Amino acid sequence: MYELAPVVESVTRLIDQSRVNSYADAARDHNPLHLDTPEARAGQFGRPVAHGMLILAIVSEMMSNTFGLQWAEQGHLKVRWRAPTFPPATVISNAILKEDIDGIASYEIFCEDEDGQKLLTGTARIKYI
Amino acid sequence: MLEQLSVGDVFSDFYVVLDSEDVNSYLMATGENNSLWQTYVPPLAVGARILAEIIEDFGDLDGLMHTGQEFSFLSKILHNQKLNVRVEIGTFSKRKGNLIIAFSIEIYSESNMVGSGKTNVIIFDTEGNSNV
Repeated sequence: MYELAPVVESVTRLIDQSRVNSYADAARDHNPLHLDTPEARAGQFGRPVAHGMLILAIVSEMMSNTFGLQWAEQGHLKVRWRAPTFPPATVISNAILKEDIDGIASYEIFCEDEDGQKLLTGTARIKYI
Repeated sequence: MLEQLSVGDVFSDFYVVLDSEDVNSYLMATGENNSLWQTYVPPLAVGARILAEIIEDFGDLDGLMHTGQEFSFLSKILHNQKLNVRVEIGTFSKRKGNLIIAFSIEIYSESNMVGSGKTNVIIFDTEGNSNV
């Protein structure tokens, strides 16, 4: 157990089309928007977009790395996607401690690409004691 | 069908079970590597499966965009644990031809709530009725 909310270490992950394809199979989400399909090329972005939940998975991984099973038992996430992630992109997930009261820590979380484009923003909260 | 929905309506009601193979596929795809998930299910793997079920219930995905997500994780989930999921319409509005929907999600194992969430989507008017 922690006496003070711990620092949450960043996680960096390459999101390429191969990973997106694998995620489509694993998550059973084969929306053509995410795949290298005519629909994706004809869509509003003109190319495939990574699943938002694949980006969010990096956030959850980051929190699990720090809090272990406590994250699965007492974690809370609230996010909005701010920009599409176009594969290939190197995505960095970050958490900044904002509040630590009575054993409940709140972190500002965000994911950005290698150019500093914010892809996702939100908060993560966990009761860690 | 969607336009006939009202707040509080049950959108779908289903169960999910993630076995070791499902979890390993998820870990390979996301790149996550944590020994905890050899026994338990990563919370977002459950979330991903639920989202896939919701999306499947839409049928036509044209113009659909996932804009926001909220999850509260209340219990660790074992491989092969059966989870009952209830998805209701939390909020529903139409703006300039586009539908904006928030789904409220409750996840149960037997009678215990093990998680909850909210999924926000926007369905853009792809038939040119939008004023945007």
